[in-house]
Amino acid sequence: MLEDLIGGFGVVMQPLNLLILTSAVLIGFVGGALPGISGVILVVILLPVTYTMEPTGAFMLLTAIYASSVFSGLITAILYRAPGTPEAVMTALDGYPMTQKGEAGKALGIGILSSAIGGIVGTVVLIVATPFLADIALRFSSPEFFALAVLGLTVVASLGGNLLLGLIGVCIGLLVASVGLDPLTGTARFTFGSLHLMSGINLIPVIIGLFAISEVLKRCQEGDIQLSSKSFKIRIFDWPVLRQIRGTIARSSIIGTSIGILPGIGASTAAMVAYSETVRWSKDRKRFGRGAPEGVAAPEAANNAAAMGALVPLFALGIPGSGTTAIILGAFIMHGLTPGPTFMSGNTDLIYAVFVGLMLVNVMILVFSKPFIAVLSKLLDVPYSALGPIIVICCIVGTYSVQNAMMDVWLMLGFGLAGFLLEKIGFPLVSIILGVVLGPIAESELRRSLAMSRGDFSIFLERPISAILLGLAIILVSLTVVSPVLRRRKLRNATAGDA
Amino acid sequence: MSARLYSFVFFAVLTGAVFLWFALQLPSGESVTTLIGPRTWPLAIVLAMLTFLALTFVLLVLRGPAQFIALDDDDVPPEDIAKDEAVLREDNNGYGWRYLAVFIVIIAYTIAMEFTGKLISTTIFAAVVTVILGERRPLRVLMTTGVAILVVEILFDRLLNIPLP
Repeated sequence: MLEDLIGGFGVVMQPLNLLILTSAVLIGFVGGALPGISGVILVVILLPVTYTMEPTGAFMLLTAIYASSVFSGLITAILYRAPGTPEAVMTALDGYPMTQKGEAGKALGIGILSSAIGGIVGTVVLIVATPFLADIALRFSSPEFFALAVLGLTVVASLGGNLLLGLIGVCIGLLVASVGLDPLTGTARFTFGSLHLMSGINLIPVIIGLFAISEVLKRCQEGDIQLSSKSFKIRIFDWPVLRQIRGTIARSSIIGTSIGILPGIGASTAAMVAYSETVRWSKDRKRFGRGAPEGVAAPEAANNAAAMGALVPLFALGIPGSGTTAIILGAFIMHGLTPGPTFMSGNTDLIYAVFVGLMLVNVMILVFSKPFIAVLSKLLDVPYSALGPIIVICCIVGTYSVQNAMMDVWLMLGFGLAGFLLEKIGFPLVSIILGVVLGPIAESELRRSLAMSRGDFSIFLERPISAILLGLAIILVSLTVVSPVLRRRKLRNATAGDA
Repeated sequence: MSARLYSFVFFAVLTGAVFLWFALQLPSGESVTTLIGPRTWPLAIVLAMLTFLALTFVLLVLRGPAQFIALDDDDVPPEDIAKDEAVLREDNNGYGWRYLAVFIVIIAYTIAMEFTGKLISTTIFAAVVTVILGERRPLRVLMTTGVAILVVEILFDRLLNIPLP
């Protein structure tokens, strides 16, 4: 592992790769800080651009944007109570009151340091745990891969929103993935006579349409949001404050990484759990929600640690740990790479370059955040009437560039309108992406497994790893169904008790 | 919200029925001499989707739309959150249909690009959408249009070598 890390360091230190990393960090900073442009949208918009890049540079770019955007959501959360990313929602609870008390610089410093430390802890776990998990997964065959795909699809159960709508979304995604020629027999499926559709529906138009275009349409309805500028002095290494929050940072980093590794949970949930635990462990709970430094440190350490943790199942098993990593999984497939157990042994240079790159990103957060925040306060004045057209142009050109086909652009617009309308009912769009990405794997491994067993479905139960994975999938879905019922019963009992 | 959910179920069932019909036309395993033919997987998915949609409809009728809204017990409805003075929200009365205008312009841009080329279509598109989104100062409209042309011409065409119509 040490040799691989040194090799990865050598790859990252090449001038072009350093430039890519630095650019990615700055792009992620901007996107994560601006409300309405999250890490997901940035990764989506830049996905087609990475198509022409070398895989190492492409994945350093995408993962660095992902990591840096999770951090920068705290900036507007603390300054304006307008979180730039969903992961920064909890940060606003204590961050904004600190700003109101004239402690904006202190709050930002705590957020920056906590994010960097949480991210570093998460990256260390990523480096250590991924090869270990990949080793275990080398014992996998078709039944295990199918069971893994099913587990990945049940991630929808944990993505929030309604379970039924999520399952419908997965079905929609699986149907979209089945458009085209059947890989085994060459039969045309759902092509409606179109030559272009015979090669299937590319992932890029689906992703860009569902996320980026639908977001543009949504923002058209909302009117402009202007954030008035503020002045402040940021203090990152404030030793008395550091002594106060060090326990919180340590605990929240571990919570964040652990939750991030679990497929489908995500950094937002990690931030919430870390915040709740910090309140629970505190001797004076009344301080929280009124500007407690621990209230900023906990969610920020956890969300960055979780963001790194979410990459562990992606690299080791090929199943996404969160919504954004589902899109990064799509990027791997687009480059002809399949993350998973064999991926580790065949692409060591790429993987360790990404690991070292992520470690460097967390250090860059400490170095670049202060000057960036000073510049950002000017960028926040750019109205959406200027940003919106540029985003749409990037989406159209980016989608067209994949196969030089206008049909992809039309598909993107169709998915964009569908995504916009589906969001009106709170539909979890990422469930569709999960279906599109994991559908081909699920179908091909199912057919291979049944060919192995001559049509006997018990093969999935006879093999222990497959049985465990399928059992986990069932438990995950059951928990999502059962826990709201238990919560309602608990609330009813508590209310009855008070009465 | 209730009307939206019912509409979603209706259109999704309609789409599912269309895909079901096409799936039933596909050959089965016996006709193509494989254990699992090209029909099995998509047919199973369509049937699963229609089942979930039926369940959704039943739950909608029995319990109403509230169960489908992603709000936890502790979530506060948006109208109850105190407005923040540092965040100046534009009064968005009359913006309800702005998305449709922008979408129509995007479609026109996509069609026009193949006939007029990227520069002319991008110039008109950027200017029109900027105005639709509320910008009225000519200099700002010109600046946005200029940035759009730079993005297409320099960033995509020259730097990234992406050939455009």
